[in-house]
Amino acid sequence: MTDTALMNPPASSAGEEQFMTRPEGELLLEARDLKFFYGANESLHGVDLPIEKNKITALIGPSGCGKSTLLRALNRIYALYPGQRAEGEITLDGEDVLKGGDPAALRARVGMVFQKPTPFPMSIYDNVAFGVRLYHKKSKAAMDEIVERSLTRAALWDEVKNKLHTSGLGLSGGQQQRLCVARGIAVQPEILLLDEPASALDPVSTAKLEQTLVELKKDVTIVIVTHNLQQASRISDYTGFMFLGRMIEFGPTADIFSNPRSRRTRDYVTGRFG
Amino acid sequence: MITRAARRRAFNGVFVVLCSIATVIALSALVMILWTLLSKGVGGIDGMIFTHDQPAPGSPGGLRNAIVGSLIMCGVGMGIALVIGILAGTWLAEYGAGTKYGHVVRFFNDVLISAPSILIGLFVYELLVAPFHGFSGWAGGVALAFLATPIVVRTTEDILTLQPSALREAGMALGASRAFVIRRIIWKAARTGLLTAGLLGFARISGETAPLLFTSLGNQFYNHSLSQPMASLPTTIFQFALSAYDDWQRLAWVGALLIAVAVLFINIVGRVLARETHRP
Amino acid sequence: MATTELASPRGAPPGHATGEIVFRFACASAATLLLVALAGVVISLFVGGLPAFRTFGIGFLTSTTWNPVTEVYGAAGPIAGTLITAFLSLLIALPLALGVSVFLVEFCPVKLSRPIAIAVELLAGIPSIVYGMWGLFVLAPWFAAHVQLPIVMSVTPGSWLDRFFAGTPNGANIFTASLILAVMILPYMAAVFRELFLTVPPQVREAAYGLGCTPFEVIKAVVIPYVRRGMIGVIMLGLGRALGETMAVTFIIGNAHGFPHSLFDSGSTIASTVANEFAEATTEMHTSALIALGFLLFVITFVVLAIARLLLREAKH
Repeated sequence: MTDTALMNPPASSAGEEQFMTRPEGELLLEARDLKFFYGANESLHGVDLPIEKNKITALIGPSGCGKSTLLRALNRIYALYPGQRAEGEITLDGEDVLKGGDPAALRARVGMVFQKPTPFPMSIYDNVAFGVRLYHKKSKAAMDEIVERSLTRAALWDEVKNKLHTSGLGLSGGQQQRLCVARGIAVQPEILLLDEPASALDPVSTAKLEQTLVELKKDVTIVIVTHNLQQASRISDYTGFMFLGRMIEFGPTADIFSNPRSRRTRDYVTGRFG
Repeated sequence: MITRAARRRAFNGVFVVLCSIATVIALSALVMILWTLLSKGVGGIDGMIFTHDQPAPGSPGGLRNAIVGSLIMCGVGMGIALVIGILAGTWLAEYGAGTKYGHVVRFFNDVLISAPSILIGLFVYELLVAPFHGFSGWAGGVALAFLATPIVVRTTEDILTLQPSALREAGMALGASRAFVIRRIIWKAARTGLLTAGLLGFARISGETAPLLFTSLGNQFYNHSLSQPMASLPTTIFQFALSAYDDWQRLAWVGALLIAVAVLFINIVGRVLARETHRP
Repeated sequence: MATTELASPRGAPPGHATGEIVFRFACASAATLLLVALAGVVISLFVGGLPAFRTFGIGFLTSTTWNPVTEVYGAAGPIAGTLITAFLSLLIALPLALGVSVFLVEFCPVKLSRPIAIAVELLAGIPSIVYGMWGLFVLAPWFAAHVQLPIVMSVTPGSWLDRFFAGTPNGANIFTASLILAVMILPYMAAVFRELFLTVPPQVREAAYGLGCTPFEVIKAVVIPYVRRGMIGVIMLGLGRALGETMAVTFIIGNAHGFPHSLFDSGSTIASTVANEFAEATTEMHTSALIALGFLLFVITFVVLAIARLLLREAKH
């Protein structure tokens, strides 16, 4: 591809060759031939996504490639909006969760952290306890412990331990985002989805968040969408590169960044476009 | 020789003057009305206004029964309006947004906001007075509820639509149902806005006269039973102002001042609250 | 090292499914209740007015006789009064509202614009009965003494001018009623005009100024055409308000049931007639005639308001 070709990017990824290297370990979640529609518009064209347990998988790609759409299909959060629908297969631990089952039950096992921090209008304590209280009745002592544990794992405990009953809205942006992580892991989900979680954060908060994710993966499988290539190469074990609604290449992060097989991938990770 | 440019400047100059005159007129009207209220109303205030009921002409008295009646009926009206209004406004913002039925409801709600209040009075008369052969505080309260509800609906819908969708998604991503998220998160986040909705509704109905004229009618005696005709400030003012008695007219001005001050105060509080919510 | 293990949740939160159904139903019912209420108003007004409509037929709309004693009722007087006062008030209020809103947007020194805007909104919040009282006790006597009397003194009896301005010099007539109405609808219209003007993108206005337009020309040629639909909507909203206003008018319109013969003649509106007579109406026909009046008012205002809302909806999107 010459530079003029880069200046006139294709309108469709239909002809692109796809390279998938499946993970070697046990798969927790797998999407197969996933299609997604906004109304009549097909925005994901048969995507495959294998997620290995207790690893961090990153989704990268230029704006509009469908990485957020793919992420939001995994916990069926798109179902809030009439006119959005998904086809294909998503299996969690072997069972199909796309077609059958209650979305609320799925979301109990698959958590999500959003791009902009979304603390609930309540105390820090209540924020973290919110999800747990949906499912379990716990004594105060038990809940205290759960809250402390979640905040510690989210690297926020030391900063808030003396103001647990103040409003979550009073925290800084980076702290709010870690609060959202604590809230998400308090219910001990099997998977945590993060949609560009650090894009609104300063570098220091970003570093803290990344550190948290790396330590969390021992217990929680993580899927993270990011437009920050360095972040993906820093923390993820597997990376999937998407382009115009297709998964162009998927494999171990080291391979994707140092020796990508697709020309398109190489151009993206070396910064020639996007 | 007048140049084109000079003529255009002249037109503009005249225009500016006219607009300024219009503003002065509008402001003068405000000043005149407030001045009249204050001068005629304040002079009539004495210790008995809040402690005594309305008098026979020529005797001393106050506005206690009217004030109490107004408070009771406005309370009833707002109670109904808040329940129905917030639920309906929530439906419009959360469940009905974008649907055809939602458009229809919103449209007719907007029409109801501006509907003549006297017609609401007629309707409630047919509904609650004629069949029961008697005017009552309930009828008055319900009539006021009819007037306040559309305002609450609209304000609620506006304030809920402003809440970021990510907040809803975050709640539902934990597995909560939509209803749970609305009640525990969205309503909580919109707390101040919902309060403003209530205040706006209250300000509107506290000064309404027409719908009370043939629902609660009025009562010269102290009465806090909702099943009887009930006095209210606006109806009492109406009766006293049109009468030929000086002391009744004096009381009418005091009543008008009380209502105006109350409405002004509520508006200011609402404004301050609205500013608090929009601070980043 | 955690001592409390959470069983990883496998189902939806307990109780939420039913809670969702109940809550959603409650909200939808409340929304439907609004429609039901509106339908109820229309139906009850129609049913209540039916006896009068049936008895007097189409003559109800054209006859000016309103006689509770002989039980003959005709709505032409109140209808005429309603329409005349509403349109007259609009005629007075519209240029003023435009002037105020343009002033606030274009010419007002920035420091003053918020206080003035707030003052205008305060005007809008004053209850109508206060306007009514001010009209009765301040405007009417002033008008009688400073406008009506001088005119009576100066025009030749029997002339066209005399007939145009004829009327009891007590200040209670359709013109003063229109004045009060104008002051009432002015602040609301000014406020929404201002909001509409502020929706014009700054780039569009700057482009016009950049070409050398005076503020007047920018308003006339760029801003107003941009928001024209919305402005018409606001005007109709003001009209709707004026048509239905009761208390401000009842005090000062003079309450005569006939067709007004001059600008300073007393008259009545549908709202003022109903307000004055309903509580004391003893016969069924009287009550029915009043409710029939109400139905007519509803039809008139509904049409005006519906058009207004449709226009504003398009304008704001």
